This record gives sequence, structure tokens and C-alpha cells, in this order.
Amino acid sequence: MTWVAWRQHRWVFAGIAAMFAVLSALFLIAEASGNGSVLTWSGTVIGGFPGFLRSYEELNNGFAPLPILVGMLAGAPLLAGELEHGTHRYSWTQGVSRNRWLVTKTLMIGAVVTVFSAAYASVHTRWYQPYAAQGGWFMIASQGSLALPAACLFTFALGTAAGALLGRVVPAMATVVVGHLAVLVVERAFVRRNHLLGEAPDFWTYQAIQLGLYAGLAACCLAVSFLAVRNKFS
Amino acid sequence: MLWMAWRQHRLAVFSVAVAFSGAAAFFFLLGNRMRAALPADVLPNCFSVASGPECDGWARVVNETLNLSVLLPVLAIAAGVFLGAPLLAREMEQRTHRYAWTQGVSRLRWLNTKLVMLGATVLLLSTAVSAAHMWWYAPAAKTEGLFDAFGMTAPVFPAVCLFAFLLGVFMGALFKRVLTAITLTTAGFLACLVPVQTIFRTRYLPAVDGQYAEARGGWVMDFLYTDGSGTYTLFSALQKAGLSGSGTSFGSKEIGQLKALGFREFVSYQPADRFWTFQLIEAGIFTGLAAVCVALTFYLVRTRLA
Repeated sequence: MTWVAWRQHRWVFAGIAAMFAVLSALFLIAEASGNGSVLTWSGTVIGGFPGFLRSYEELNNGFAPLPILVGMLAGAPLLAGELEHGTHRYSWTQGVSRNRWLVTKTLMIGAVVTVFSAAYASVHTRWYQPYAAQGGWFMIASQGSLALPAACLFTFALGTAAGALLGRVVPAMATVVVGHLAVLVVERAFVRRNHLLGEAPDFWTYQAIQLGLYAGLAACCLAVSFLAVRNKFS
Repeated sequence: MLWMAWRQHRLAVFSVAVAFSGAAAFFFLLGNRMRAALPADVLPNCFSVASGPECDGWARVVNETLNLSVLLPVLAIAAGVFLGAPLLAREMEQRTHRYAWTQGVSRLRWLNTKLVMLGATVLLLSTAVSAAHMWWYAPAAKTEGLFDAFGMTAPVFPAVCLFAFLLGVFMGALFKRVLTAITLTTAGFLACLVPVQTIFRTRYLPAVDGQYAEARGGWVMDFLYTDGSGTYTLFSALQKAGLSGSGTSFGSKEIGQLKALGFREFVSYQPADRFWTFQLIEAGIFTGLAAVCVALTFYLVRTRLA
């Protein structure tokens, strides 16, 4: 079963690994070519490639849609791909039970998503360290070492669940986009706001809060996938 | 044929329309509420990070909106991924194009109708978003300059959205599989958009050197320093002057020291009156790319696919 999951989803493995490896490489290069070279004067940032990367992040929230990409490419097609083409009937009539079939798939891809996003997030967090004094850690609250992997795991689980329920890839992808944006708005507008207005806003406490929030949602989505697969009538 | 194109794609058209209309409504309402809440002479000052208490919290709203505005290319990606990519790829993947192409309508007319109908929808929706954004940002034209809203202004934004849609159609025709087309549309779109925004856009016309005050309303690209013998960025100037300490950030103190040592500061900038020229150049680039996608799609549908 491990081998089947690998064969079926090897492009997803490769894509996720490549995406996070390229992003990590960007930040490692920036770090090597003069981390900390930043000017804070009337908000202007100068300093070649590192400066560009920093301004991109500071001005643009440019990396916010990362979890959406993960959910669209790794989550949505996981079950919907088979359901749409009818190949689940073949898979489910082999020696391996549906449950084990689903466990293997979600475990393998979920692990790849978590490991690679965590590696990228820790590179990113380390890169940000010299800027934290002026920009504040909360600038990268959504990209931190705990929050980003949890958010990616959530979008992956959301895509899987939407695929299991809808049985079609493209609508499942749309669900990921809408679902993640909705959670993001709620998280930023209410949870983060309350935390920042509270007694002692702390980056790592808030990372833990995000981890709990997203991991809980991911668990709910995975439970929905299992129920949907178990109850599906052929 | 028109009716069939609508029937086939109404769910995708409807979803994309909801996303675009939502963004347009947001900027339109924000513009209206800011105009209602602030006096006409205060309003233009409230689009700056450094605005005062007379703006009554609106400056924070503006700042957050501009911060999130960079995510608006997601709308273009949505048009490419949900409207463009499945347009041909789904038919190829499910073999329904064999049925469609053996009816009374030729395959070129079939493709033409789909592209015109959906392309016009994308143009209409993206122009609406652009118009609402321009309506919201218009008061800042005198104080901040329009370059901060470059990517959202028409004709650039509609051209970008049209390109994303047609790139999706082309990827679908090329790879014949929805998932592959969606992935490569996203990657290909970003591979075109990011270099244009970060490298080419700064170089449509050679930048002008001048004092910071002259660059008002324009687009400041670099603060540069000269000691008479050469031109330096802040970092090379600090190194030249032997001031590069171990600090991780530099502020007005280091700049003061540089000036005391005889360094003169100037900025390299694009003047404010180049805004619409730049808009036309960039819209031209994306329209050109879109035209290439259409031509290649027609070529593939006519000769290669069966």
C-alpha cells in the first residue's frame, strides 16, 4: 500500500518538496548575501536581494497564500481524483480495507506536507531574527515554525475532506480557497486582535494558539474524510 | 452555441463572479465610507502611514488594506485556474470533445465562442474591481501618488486577469489534464507576474536622479549617496566612509554621520507624470502574452488535438 500511494502521488510529493525547497533556498541565499542589511528611514528598505525579499514580505503579505497552494495541490486531488475517475471502485475491492487505504494516503502526504513546511518555516523564522527588533515578531505570525505547518496540514485535510464529500477535484480546490480565507480572516480579525490587545502578547504563545486552532480544524476535517469514505456506497 | 457555453461553464463563471464582485464591493464601500466619515480636506492625508489623529483610525484601515492588496493577483489566478484551465482540459480528460467536435459547429467556432464569452466576462469583472479600487484610492493621487496602487489600476489589472485566463486555457490545451493545467497555470502566471513587477516595471523608462522633495507623488526606487567621485548605495557609502558597524539596522544617525563626512544624498525615481505611460506599457506586455496564448491554443486545437 505504501508503494501504491507513492506511485499514485509521487508528483505531489515532488511538487510539495520542490516548492518548499525553493522557498527555503531563497531565504538561505538572502541570509548568506548580507542578512541584516536594512535601512529604516521613512519606511524605505534598501539592500539588494535581501532588501527586496524583506520589502516583499513587509509590504505585501506575499507568502500568505502558501497553505492554499498546499491544500489545492496535495489535498483536493487526493480522494477526489479517484472518485472523479471512478478508480476508487478498483482500489476498494483489493485486499486492503478502505480505512487502511485512506490512513496510508493521508499519513504519507500529511507527513511530507508537515515536514517540508516546518523546515521552510524554521528557515524563515531564523532569517527574520535580526529584523524582529524593529518589525516585531508578529509580522511573521502566520509564517512561524508552528503556525505555518499547522495551517498547511489544515488546508491539506480540508482539501481531502472536500474531495471526499464532493467527489470532484475543481470544486474541492475552490472549497480550499474559500475555507482557508474564511479561517484566516476569523483568525486575524478576532483571535489575533484579542491576543494583541490582551495582557502580554507573546510570539511563541500565539504560535501555540495557532497550532491548536489549525490542528483542531485539521483533525475535524480528517474525521469527516474517514466518515465520508466509510459511508460511501460504492 | 452561446447557450451551451453558458450551460457548461455557469458554475465556474458564477464562482469567479462572486469573488470579483466581492472585492469590487469592498473597495467601493470603503471609498464611500471614507468619503462620508472624513472632511474633503483631511481625506487625502489619510492614505499615509504617518497620518495624524484627525484620520480617526482610518489610516490603520488603509494600511491593512494596502498590505493585503498584494493578494489581489489571487483573483487573476482564480480566473486562470477555475475558468481557464478546465475549459479544454476537462473535455480532453473526459473525452467529451469528441462529441462536441462532431456536431454542426466547427471546432474553431466552438473554441471562439467559449473564449469570447468567458474572456469578456473576465475583462468586465476585473475592470469593475479596478474601477472600485481607483475610486477608493483617488483622493491619494495628490498626496501619495498613484504608483502605490499600480497593479490594481486599469488597464494593467484587467490585462493581467485576461492573461491568467488565457494562460489557463493554453495550459489545458497543451497538457490535456485538469490537474496538471491548474498547477502549471499557477506556476506559469507567477513566473511571468513576479519578474515583471519586480524587475521590468522599474525599467520601462530610465530613472531620474533628483532630491527627495522632487520625487513627491512619483516612485522612489533608491536612496543613493555621492562624495563627488562616485555613487554609492547606503551600505557601500557606509563602508567607504568606514562607518559600517556591527549593527543590524541603520537609521537617521548613520545618515547624519555620512552627511557630515561630505556625502550628498539623492534619490533615483520615476516621476509622477509617467504613471499612465507605465500603465500602457505594462498592459501592452500582458495583452501581448495573452495574444500569444490565444494563438497557440488555436494552433493546438486546429492541428494537434483529436
